Amino acid sequence: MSDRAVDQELVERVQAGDKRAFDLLVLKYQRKVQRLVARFVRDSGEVDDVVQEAFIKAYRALPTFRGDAAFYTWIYRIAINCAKNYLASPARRIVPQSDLISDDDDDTESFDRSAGLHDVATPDAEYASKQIAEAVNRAMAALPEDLRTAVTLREIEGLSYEEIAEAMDCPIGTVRSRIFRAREAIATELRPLLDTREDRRW
Amino acid sequence: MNSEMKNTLMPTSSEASREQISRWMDGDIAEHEIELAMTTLSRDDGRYCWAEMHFVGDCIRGLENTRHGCADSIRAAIAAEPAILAPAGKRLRAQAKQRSLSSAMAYLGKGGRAWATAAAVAAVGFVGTVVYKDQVASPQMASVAPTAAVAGADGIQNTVPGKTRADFNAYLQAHQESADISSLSPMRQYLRPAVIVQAQ
Repeated sequence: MSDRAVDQELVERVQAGDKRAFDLLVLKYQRKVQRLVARFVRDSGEVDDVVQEAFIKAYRALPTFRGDAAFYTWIYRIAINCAKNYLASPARRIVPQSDLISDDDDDTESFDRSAGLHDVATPDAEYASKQIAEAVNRAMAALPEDLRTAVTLREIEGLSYEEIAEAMDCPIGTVRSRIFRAREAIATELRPLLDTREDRRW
Repeated sequence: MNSEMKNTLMPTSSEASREQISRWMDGDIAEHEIELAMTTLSRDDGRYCWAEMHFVGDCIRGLENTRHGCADSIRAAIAAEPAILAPAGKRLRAQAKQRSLSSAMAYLGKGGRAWATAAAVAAVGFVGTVVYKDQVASPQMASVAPTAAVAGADGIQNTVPGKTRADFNAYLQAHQESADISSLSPMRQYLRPAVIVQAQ
């Protein structure tokens, strides 16, 4: 299976009435969608409102989702439409057209790392974010080279396990283990910084 | 809150289970593991691990400034929504069909396939008889049947009244979805001419 197939499996569970499966999709995509919406909407509270609206609209429209497109392109499209509708509402501030994403551009993933994103963080959130970034950098630097390479190929380059195994010339089981150990090491570094209740963290 | 307290609050999950979730979220999952994965992820510790692993990935990609997310508010909103009862996806339908076939075969024993084939042939014969009688009783339907037989699931032509056309298409679609065509394949050469002859 692929990453996309896992999403499709979750979508089919939701279509069969399993709301928890939709929660897993939200947990997976919420930050990406937030970052996308933040390109349109400046206020962080309003970003959350638009993101919530996008996911709710997606949930309501899921019976018509047939899996012809990947779930993430579908939810991104909905989020962009929600953000544009939000901006078009009379009480909202108008953002220059040049700041908006083209309707023809489906590669919304690329915006995650593009320059010139709107800054939605409050000073406190910005400080916490900086701490987390430093912790991740620290944890990454402390990783053995093979673990760092494996997790980078997966998380940054988006390679499959088979491709990573080929690139690193090792068995696929080793790739699984390396990526898992890298994630665990980074998670261990991050946990002390996440001072919310555990069940409210995400 | 100190770290010791946080550790006691943290949902626990075995390392093996966390490693499974780590690879499942990357799509490294076999067909036979899907049910196990969904069961694991439906538990609190599984969900927590899923969320944490995705958070780690987002941090590596530089999305850490939205760490709080809004999953809680979305979950609350979704809880207020009615559950979706859409038609099941292809694979789930296939699984359900496979399960019902397996149980039927187990019930019928070794001769199950022969019984199923015989039952299918009998059903086709019965339907054909009913259609033939209808044609005799109704000249209008007699002119419809050949068109429908040729048009197949894509829909019959506009010469047929709307309601009849819709009913017939629904029947064809339901038949195609529920019929085990592969087990009837040796019979198909006989079945198709039979339908056409009756329709004429």
